[in-house]
Amino acid sequence: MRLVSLCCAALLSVMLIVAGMLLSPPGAQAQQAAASSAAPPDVQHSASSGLSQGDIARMLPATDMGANAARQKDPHLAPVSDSPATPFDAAPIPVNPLAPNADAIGAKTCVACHAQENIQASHSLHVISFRAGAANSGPQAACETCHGPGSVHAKDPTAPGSIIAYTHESKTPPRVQAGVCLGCHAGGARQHWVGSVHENRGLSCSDCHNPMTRLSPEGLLAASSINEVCASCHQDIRAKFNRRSHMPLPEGQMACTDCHNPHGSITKPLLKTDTVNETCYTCHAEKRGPFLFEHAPVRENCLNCHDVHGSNQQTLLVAPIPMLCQQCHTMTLHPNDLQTPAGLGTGPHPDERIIGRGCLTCHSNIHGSNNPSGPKFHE
Amino acid sequence: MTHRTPLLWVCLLMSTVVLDVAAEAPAASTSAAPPSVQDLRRMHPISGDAKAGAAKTAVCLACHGPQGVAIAPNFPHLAGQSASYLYVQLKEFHDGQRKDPVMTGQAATLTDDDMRNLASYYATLPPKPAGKGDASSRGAQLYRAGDPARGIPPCQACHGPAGLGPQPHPSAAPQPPWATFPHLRGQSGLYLTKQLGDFKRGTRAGNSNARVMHGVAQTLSDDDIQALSAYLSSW
Amino acid sequence: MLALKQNRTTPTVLTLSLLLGLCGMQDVLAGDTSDTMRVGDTQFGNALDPLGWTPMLQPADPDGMSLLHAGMLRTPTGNLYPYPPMVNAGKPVGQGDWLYNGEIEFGYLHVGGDRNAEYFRQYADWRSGPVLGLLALNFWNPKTGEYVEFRGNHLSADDQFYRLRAGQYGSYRIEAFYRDMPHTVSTNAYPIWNGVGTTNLTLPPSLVPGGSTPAQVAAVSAVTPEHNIGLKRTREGLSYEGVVYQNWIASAGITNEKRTGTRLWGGSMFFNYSFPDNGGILETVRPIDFRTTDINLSLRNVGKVWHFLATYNGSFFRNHKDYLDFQSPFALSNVVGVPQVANITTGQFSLEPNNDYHNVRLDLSRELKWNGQLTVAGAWGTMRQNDALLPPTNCTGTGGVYISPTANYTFPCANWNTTAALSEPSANARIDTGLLDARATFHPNQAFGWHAGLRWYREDDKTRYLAYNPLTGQYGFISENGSQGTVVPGQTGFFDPNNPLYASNSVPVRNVPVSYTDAVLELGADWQLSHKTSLGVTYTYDRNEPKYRERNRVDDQRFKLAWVSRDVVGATIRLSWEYARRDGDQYNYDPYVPFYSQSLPGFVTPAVGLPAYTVADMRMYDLSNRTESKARLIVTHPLGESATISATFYGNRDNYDALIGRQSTRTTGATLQWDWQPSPKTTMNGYLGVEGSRMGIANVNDADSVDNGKIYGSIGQTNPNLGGPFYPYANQWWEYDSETNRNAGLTFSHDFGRVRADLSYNYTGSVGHVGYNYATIGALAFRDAASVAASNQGFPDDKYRTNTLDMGLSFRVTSNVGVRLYGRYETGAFSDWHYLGLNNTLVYDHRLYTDKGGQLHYNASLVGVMLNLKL
Repeated sequence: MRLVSLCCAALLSVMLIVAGMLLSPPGAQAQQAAASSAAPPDVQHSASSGLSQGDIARMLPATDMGANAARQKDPHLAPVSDSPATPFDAAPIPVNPLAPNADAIGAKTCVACHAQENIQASHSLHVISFRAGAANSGPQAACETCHGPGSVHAKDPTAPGSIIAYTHESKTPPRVQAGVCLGCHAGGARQHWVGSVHENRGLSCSDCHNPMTRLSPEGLLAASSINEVCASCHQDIRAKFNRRSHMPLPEGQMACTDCHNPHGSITKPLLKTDTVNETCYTCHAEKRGPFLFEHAPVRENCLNCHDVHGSNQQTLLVAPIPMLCQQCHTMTLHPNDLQTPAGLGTGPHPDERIIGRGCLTCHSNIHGSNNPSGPKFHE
Repeated sequence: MTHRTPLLWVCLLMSTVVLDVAAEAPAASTSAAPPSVQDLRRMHPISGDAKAGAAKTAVCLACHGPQGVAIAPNFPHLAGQSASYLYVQLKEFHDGQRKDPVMTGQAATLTDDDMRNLASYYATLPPKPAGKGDASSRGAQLYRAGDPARGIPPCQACHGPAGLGPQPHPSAAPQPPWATFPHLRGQSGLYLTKQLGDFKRGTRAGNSNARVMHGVAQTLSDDDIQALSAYLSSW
Repeated sequence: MLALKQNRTTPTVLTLSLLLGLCGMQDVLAGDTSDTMRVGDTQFGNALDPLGWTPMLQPADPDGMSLLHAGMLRTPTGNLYPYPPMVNAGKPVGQGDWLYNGEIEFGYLHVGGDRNAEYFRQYADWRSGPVLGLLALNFWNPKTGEYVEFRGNHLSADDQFYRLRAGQYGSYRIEAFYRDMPHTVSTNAYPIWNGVGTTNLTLPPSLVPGGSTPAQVAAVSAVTPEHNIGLKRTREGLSYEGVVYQNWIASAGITNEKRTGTRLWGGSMFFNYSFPDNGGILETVRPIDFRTTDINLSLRNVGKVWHFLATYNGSFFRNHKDYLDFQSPFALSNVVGVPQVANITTGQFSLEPNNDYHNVRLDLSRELKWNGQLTVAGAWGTMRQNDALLPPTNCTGTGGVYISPTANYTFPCANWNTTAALSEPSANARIDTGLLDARATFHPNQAFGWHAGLRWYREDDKTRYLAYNPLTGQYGFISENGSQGTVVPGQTGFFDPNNPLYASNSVPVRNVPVSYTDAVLELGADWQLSHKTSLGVTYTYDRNEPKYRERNRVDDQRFKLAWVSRDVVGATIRLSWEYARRDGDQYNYDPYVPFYSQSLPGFVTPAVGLPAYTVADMRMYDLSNRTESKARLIVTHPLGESATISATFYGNRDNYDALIGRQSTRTTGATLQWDWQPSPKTTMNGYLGVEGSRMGIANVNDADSVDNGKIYGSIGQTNPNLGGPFYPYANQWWEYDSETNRNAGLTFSHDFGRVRADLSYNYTGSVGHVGYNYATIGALAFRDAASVAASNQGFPDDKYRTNTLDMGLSFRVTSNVGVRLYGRYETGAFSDWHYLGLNNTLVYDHRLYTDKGGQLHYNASLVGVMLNLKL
């Protein structure tokens, strides 16, 4: 019965994928509302300012930040593609679905009122790099490349959705917000954002990032460090790092992103490698082996025995030894005795199976042995 | 080594105490001097006793007129103006962040209650009757749409589509201190021209709003200022 | 070996040349970097400054982020963005367009109190002396977008980092770093051997290998000085990322890590608990001398319709100390037979072999209709090692026991202490992995979306090893370097089809090449119920097919519900609940027969049969039937314009369908956090967390002794059933581990103008309790009156508690000069019953321990004075 359902489901998903391929339009299909290209200059719809889009395009320093100009001058460069993920020298102004008729007004207009924002943003990596990209045409573009055309907002600043906002009361759906960012930042480490758990939980890029200023050493984060950002939701995980054995995260040597890619991945939970173990092997390469004699749960998943964020046992173990081992080992003779305080150093029968490292005193090569006499990890 | 640690701790703690005292002292002295810029960002709309305010207008009406409509174009009309705006201006004249040969002296003797009451009183007066205003004029266009090509934002965003103060949509997001933004409709042109010039030059920069206006006014040419003033005063 | 060495050099050279080659091209502009794609090195900091960048002379900007409104805006979820620091606009470098800014913090740190406490310095090398708190230097050219950034920090030679980045925004980036990271394992260790940190542990001259009494060993242990056990990681890295041609972006990086030091280890010369005044149990110290070179390459093209990403990750691990030989002071004696003929005095370990790893992966995404995306990923990986194998033993002379000419259980070490005794000279071990992942996501409209995914992963261990000694024709190994067979006749570890003495020995003769294939199908849908509310449903079907395990198939079906609303009385609520059921095919409690000598020709089943491998009712927890439910609620609630209160409630319940084995786990917890930033000058936050967890297992003692139903060695030992003669109900026992964790923290920071005060207090308290009950005392390891009485008392609680108070005072003397006073006071308490008694003696009969465990109490303090200069 189960087999049937599995087969059906597999078939279904394959059909879906094939259908998806077939359904994809012959031409270019824009990825997000935000990523669809800005209105071409020849569409001169009448703007309420009395200026047409074409007028503005003529008067403003190009909102593609000069890329076209630069490219046209250089016969060796290909014309700018309309890729949604081209570098920022060609970043288009995204369409704001909640203000589809808004026109671009240029950064100078924005900063006339947003003076302090301008001071901060001008020293953030994001805008510095925008301006470097705009060096060919003057320091104008920036604001609307992310926030969408500003004319409606400029006239009625609190009109809901008049601008693509990235903060708490924004009327712009998180998916649209992320779509704007992905207009430049798609692919690479963010290849699997679409469908990722953070996307599905309605997170926006600005839940973790703040490109308007420098709050963190790098990464334009929304708090002072990666770990702080993650802990804003994952407080219980941060607390685990206070335990007796933990990864050196509170000590500033590690970040959550050393193992996890919050932008999405195909390995749960947001791991960067094909499996849990491969992530662990990146730093614990000696455990990779393979060994002559393998210990099945070790090779299967490090998490079988380790709680990697923090544990009250030695070496991140999920349970005290020998209990940890006795979950599986009930073989005859020594493994299946109930160990009690009688076997402690202070008890009537000090017993190597419980004192100190317990089982590991003899089965030291528990992660696998490369010794021809090591099938029991003794050697 | 171990014994030295408590000593170091004592030093550290002592220095804390000393510092606290040290820190208090300059704080106290600075609070006596007027702050150079009033931060209006947290200001809530004021309230006052308009009747009590009316009783204090004897001096004001000499210039601003018996009904808050100025007797000469170099004085601003006060009738129907935002109470919070008026209060802030009086307070700035009083505290010295905004300077005017006449008003600085006049405001010096007012108490905080006086200022609230006066502001409330003038806010209750009917504004100067509306004019026609030339909607096709350069000034009207600047007021409504600004001039993106030159980086001029539309004035109406903060001063309202009808020139009678901002009309924000309700939102839980942090809001500008809307009540402190003045109504401009029908205001004296001469007065507006001077103020926009002052904003532009930075001579009127006594509060956080004025710092915003500094940025805005810098986008305006003298002609723009003339056009805007002409339109607003005729509107 | 030579080949392996070359193996290391070649990729390095290749990568470096590639790096240099790539640097030449930097015409077009790239989106950004791929830091979050690679494991490791995304954080540079240390205990002195966990952020790695805390410029004291850049306090929060009193103007905040906007002149238009008070306070700070919030993230979409509702957390406040912190107030930004005052901008440091930089100064011109010479006459050109370049600007620079920088800050340095240096001073003196004094460590007081129990500075060597294990948990005080677990990952921090606190030492009295000069420290560099921060050196940050930035150069940039706003016109071209070129930049050079440097950050560094030095707490000690073992705890520091320096990192340089340079490039052009959007075009390319080069990064180089060097870092040292300490890890203290124990500061309470007393190894008696000479040669700690090397591959050979030799006894001090006062002890005779294999010939010292426990009293003599105890006397030596008692005067052994305290020793720190720990290691240091030194990492260097060099990487490049940038545009190579049009929209093609490449990255290349190489990192090198050297890991040196020691770790606690073991050493067994056979049981002592069952053989008083015999055997040998040693807690030794092993060397750590690793070098790992990682190479990461990637190439991506992000087009409008296609996203292409190819990555290669290579890792080359080299262990420069890949074995450990140790001397045992204790005498072994044969339990039957004529006086001892053999004396095994040494033990050996193979430590981790060198290994090579390669992984190639291709990710392809294509935009589809209906806001859709199809992503296909495929990866192939391999991990290999072919290290030379050590001989099965390093003993010399004769091992084993001589009883009579017909019961001669001795063996000449010479038959086994040479590599000629191996069936293969080297490990020839290899695991290949393959991954295929396809998923399609569609959002045909704002209100509805769905996705489907299929993932297939296989891990195939290709290692095949048969433990066969061509010199003797015997199969198997030498158990515990010969010590086991020297105590108990015949238990040498090998099987001999031609010798009746060994023809009934069932011993492991083959490696178990555990492998698995895992296929996961996921179907999901999500609904946007309103502008601020969404609901997601996911169904996952996971089929795992392990090889050479107790089950051939394990199916896990999971149903997940996620509800997110950003407007529940102003709060953002994320609620998720999942329910999973796991089952599978028939559970075979002993799939390992083919790997034992009992499967070899010539094996003679003993008259009483072989003892049951394990109890048939055992269900290993990674394979057993299980139901799981999990729930999590995350609430973020803005309070006014300057505060946020957030809370998490979570729990999971796992029930395993196992009479023997893990039976249940459960966790319940909550956290509460309050953040307040009334102005750029002041921030305050408080934190509380509590979590309780419990894990329960069941097990059964076999009837292995006269006083618990003696069946071992008799005909009943073949019965694997719970309730049978060998695993009687009377010997059943149940154990649980129950843990409670409490956390609290309060931080406060206020800027008084010239002075900023930072205050922070953190508390962690964990209590663990292991409890048990048992059917009858037949379950116990020891059943004499004293042991039963001790058992009835139960284990004392385990505790781990720390209190940390941090205070900082930062004086800004001028805008360019500041002084920071820093102090920390930390107390801790620790107890773990594993170490009970070890503070009195480390020697119990033929057991010798090295580590006394973490200090039961400690108080430590830090005081520092740091000068800050704006550069």
